[in-house]
Amino acid sequence: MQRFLIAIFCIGFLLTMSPMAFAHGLNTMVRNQAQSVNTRVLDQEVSQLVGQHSGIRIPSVTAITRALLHHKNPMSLSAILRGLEGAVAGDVAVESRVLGIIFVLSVLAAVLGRLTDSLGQGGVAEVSRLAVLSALILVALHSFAVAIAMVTGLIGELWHLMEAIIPLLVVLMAGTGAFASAGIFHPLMLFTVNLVALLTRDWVLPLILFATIVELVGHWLPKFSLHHLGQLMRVTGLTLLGGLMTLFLGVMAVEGAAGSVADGVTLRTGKFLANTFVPVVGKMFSDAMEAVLGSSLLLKNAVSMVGALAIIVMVAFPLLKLFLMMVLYRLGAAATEPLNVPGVSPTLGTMANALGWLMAISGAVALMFFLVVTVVASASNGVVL
Amino acid sequence: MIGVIGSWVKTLIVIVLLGNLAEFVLPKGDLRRYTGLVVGLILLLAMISPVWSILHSARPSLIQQDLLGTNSSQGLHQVIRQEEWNQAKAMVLTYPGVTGCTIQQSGSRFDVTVKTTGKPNLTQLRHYINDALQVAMGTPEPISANIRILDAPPPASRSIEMARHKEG
Repeated sequence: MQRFLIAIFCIGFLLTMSPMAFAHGLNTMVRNQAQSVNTRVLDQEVSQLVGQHSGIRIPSVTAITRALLHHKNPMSLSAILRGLEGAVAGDVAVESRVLGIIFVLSVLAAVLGRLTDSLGQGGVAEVSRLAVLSALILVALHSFAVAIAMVTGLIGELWHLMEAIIPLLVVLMAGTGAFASAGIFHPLMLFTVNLVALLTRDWVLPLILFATIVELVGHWLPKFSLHHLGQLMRVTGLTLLGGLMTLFLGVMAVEGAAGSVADGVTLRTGKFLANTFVPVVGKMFSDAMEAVLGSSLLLKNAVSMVGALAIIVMVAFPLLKLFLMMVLYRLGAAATEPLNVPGVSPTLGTMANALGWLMAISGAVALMFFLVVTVVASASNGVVL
Repeated sequence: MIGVIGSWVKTLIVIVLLGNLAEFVLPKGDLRRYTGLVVGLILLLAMISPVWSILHSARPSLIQQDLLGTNSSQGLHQVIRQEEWNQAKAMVLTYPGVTGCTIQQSGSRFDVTVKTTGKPNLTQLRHYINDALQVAMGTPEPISANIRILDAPPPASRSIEMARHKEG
């Protein structure tokens, strides 16, 4: 009796489903799925977040799906490179102006120092050095404030992007049959993304800021230097970030493996059962199931590709800017050293280091978010393939 | 929390600035050396003061949570009161012939209900209960409690008596 009911149910199910699965090609099916999942809001959000600064357009989810289906490259690398070129030119122009001011100031300080030496009054040289160094530190701190605001904004935007993309990814993941993975990943991803973004924005960045300010004050007024306090805060911040990253990677790897294995076993058992125990149409049933799962896999990979592309484009510009600033400050530190004004080249060196840490922080956060998107994509691919 | 650290760093930087200003302004000599020492000491104090305040704020909360699991000092008093009552009860129960004792507080007065068997000396028992309360509470002046003494013979003997009565 029960067997009979199951058979009737399966036949009915197939009758309703088979037109969708077989009568049309894969193309139509993917389009149907893409229409059933509304990705317009996500596309809007992504283009708003990405296009704000860079002016680069990330293709929509449907466009990427179509490109993947026809074995085409969804986004040309040359567009990104062209955008980066423009950004590099602008950044170099702005930052070298700052560096020019710093050069002029340190040359002035050196000349003043020599003049007062020859006049034989030590106190005046000290005062002139202090004045020049104050101006220099003001200029440097201004550009550092710009950099730190940029990194804070970047982390906030990445956070928004992740919160927009995770629900859609999880829905599509469940659509490919990876129920265990979806169940494991959803709370885990939201938790790790929020934890990483919040701790980085509210703890790591302020600690780096404090450390830099304390060290700059130490170079400015060498008496009562708080150099080691600055080092303590910097190490605390970077250790926090490192610990966060280790924890994140471990949890992601383990959970991803466990979830995908569980899903693979469940799905394969289901297919085997359908093949063997449903009398006539079992094979057809399992084939239809596989086709539906495969097309939603394609859609899921398209969404995660949009996420990965958006993260790359969003991070590339700030990272490039930070890198250029760091290089220019290092150059300044190297060039002002022969002028022999005490304090100037250590100040520039400290600034360069601080910019390097900012770069490391934003790179680490972006890498973690990137891994969230790609690990999710690859963890549940194993289910169907 | 990060705000606390921020204000701490701000304080330290202000102290460093003032110390350097003093170094600039003061003439060379003994005074300048001592100023350096004093500024260094102030800096040290400012640096460790958050640790100090954290330790101080941590201690009471630790004790309360260990004892009670509640966060109010009201709860601690309640627990102490209960222990004192239990002590007084235990003392009353040691009196020969007392089988039960309950202590309640109504306002500032205590209501003590005592069950006895046999015929104990009632005035002596009342004195004993008052003394027990005073000792347990640790108050200097004697406590006068509302004492009710119920003479309840043990149920077993009563049933035997009733049986005898029927027979008679």
